[in-house]
Amino acid sequence: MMKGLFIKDLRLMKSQKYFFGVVLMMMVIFLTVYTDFSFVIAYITVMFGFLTVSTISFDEQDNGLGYLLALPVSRRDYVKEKYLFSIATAIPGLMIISVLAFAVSRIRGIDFVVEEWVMTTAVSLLIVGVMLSVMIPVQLKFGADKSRVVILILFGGGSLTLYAGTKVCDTFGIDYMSMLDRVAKISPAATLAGVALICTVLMGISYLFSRGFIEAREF
Amino acid sequence: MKLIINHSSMQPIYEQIVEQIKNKVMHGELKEDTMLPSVRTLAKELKVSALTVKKSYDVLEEEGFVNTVHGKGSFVAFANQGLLLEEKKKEVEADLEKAIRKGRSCGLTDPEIRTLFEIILED
Amino acid sequence: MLRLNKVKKNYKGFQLDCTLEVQEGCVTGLIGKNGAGKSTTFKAILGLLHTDGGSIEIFGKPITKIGVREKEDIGVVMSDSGFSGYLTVQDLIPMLRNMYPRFQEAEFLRECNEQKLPLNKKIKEFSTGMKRRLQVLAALTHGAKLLLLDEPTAGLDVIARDELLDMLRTYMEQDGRAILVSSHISSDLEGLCDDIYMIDNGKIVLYEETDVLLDTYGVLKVTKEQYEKLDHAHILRHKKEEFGYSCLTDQRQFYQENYPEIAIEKGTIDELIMIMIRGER
Repeated sequence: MMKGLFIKDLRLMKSQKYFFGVVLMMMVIFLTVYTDFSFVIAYITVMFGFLTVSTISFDEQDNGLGYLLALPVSRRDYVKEKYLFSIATAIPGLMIISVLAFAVSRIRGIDFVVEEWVMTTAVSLLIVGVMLSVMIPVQLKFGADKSRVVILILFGGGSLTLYAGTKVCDTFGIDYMSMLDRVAKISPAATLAGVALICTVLMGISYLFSRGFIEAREF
Repeated sequence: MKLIINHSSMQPIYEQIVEQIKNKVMHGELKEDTMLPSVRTLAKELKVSALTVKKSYDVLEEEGFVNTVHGKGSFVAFANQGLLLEEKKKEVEADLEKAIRKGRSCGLTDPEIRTLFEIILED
Repeated sequence: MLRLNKVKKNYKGFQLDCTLEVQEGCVTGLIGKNGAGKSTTFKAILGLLHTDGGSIEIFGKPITKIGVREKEDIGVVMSDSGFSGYLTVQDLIPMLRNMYPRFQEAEFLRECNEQKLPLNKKIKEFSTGMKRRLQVLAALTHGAKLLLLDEPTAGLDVIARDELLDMLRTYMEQDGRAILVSSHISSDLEGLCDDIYMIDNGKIVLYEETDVLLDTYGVLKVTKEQYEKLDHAHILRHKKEEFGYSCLTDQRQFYQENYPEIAIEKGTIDELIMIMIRGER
């Protein structure tokens, strides 16, 4: 059932050779030029997560989603597969780049600080989690084209809220910086577990929305 | 089976099929106990609907030219000479009816039509 | 195998109200001009849109109980959508293999090669005809019991159309199958369908067995005087023409016998539809 969809999405990814070429190039550049690998790790993880979103737009091409749902595929399975696919691509992506970063660090004699890596991973996963939780349901409801506008609005709004949040904290004298510091001091395992939990919850809620959107959709 | 269907003819297609199969039986081209092609196979060959072919097989069965064995197929029945003659008689009847009607519709009286008929018979 | 009862769908300016049935062992045609409601009907059957009334039953089950298992027995060709354009035929094979337990891979490949469908080219680079043929092949090679084909011949040249119809006839040679096929080119359907539904403006306007349509329906072409003297008992529709009137009858023999001087034509299904739709009662 979902396996067919999985294969389809894998094949869709394979066909994006241009994309992978660019990603590879970026990896090489960043690993050789820079010493701080946190950006690369975050970037690559997010890129891989994004692949899932692009499969949705590929599906929608030429009204293809209608045809796809006429095949032995249930609307629920379709949505479930997207979330599972995103995890199945983002995590290996993260692993690969982390291993590479570690190897390159050894070769270039740079320090590889595990705590930093944990923070980077945590932040990357959080970013991916939030992005996917927002983008998948939006794409499913509004279709590939309109969702671009919606996403811009949402992220714009999101950034503004964060900014406003920091200002509010300043006004009320809440020291969010030291709060973050305390969070960073929590054991790595706990941080990762916490992030995993948050992502799961976010994706779970997102899934419920996505499922609702796609069940209501007409072609 | 080599049947030729004229799609632009006014004669119903199933009738054309029935007629041609009957002719083949009467001329001995289709021998007794020969199995006719399945409804769908013939439909495919002639490019007509399967229902049409089924109708013609049903008519052939009714008129005694064919026996259908459920599950096996349709087979040419014993070519009864008497039946064949009946067939031809019916055709002549139909043709005569047509001619008479035509005559009446263009204003010929019955005696006039009869005269015409005698003239042709004598030729 | 398929039953639609008063299926309704409301759009702005258009309403579908459709009742039709496809029996096992039959090929049923749905004819109508573009925008008459053919695609809407198919989409309703496939669950791609929500209906505003009526019931749909496939394989005897209401459409709400149709799940993945039942869809494995259905083959689909749609007029306005298809496989994702970024895949190649080669990509489709494992996909189909996993979706349909009875997928006949060898036959699919063989037909693709015979029909010169490139295996490694992205589908979006195919012509419309090729995309259509690919959909047909996918629909025919997984042991489906019911085929739902929306305009499968559109965009195909005469030869390709003929080949496709032949493939469908071969498909029907096995028992326990049925097809619902739509087209706005009726000559396709004359040689394939057992019965035909005519749809116009969302409603079924005529239902008849194909051979009855071809054998007993006809078009009378009469002058105004002839029309006035005519027995109107078997005239379904009439349409004003340059020479007088065209009349649609479902008893062509009656008029042939009683009015031998009138021009009577057998009429192709297209011509019959024209008068059915454009004529008045």
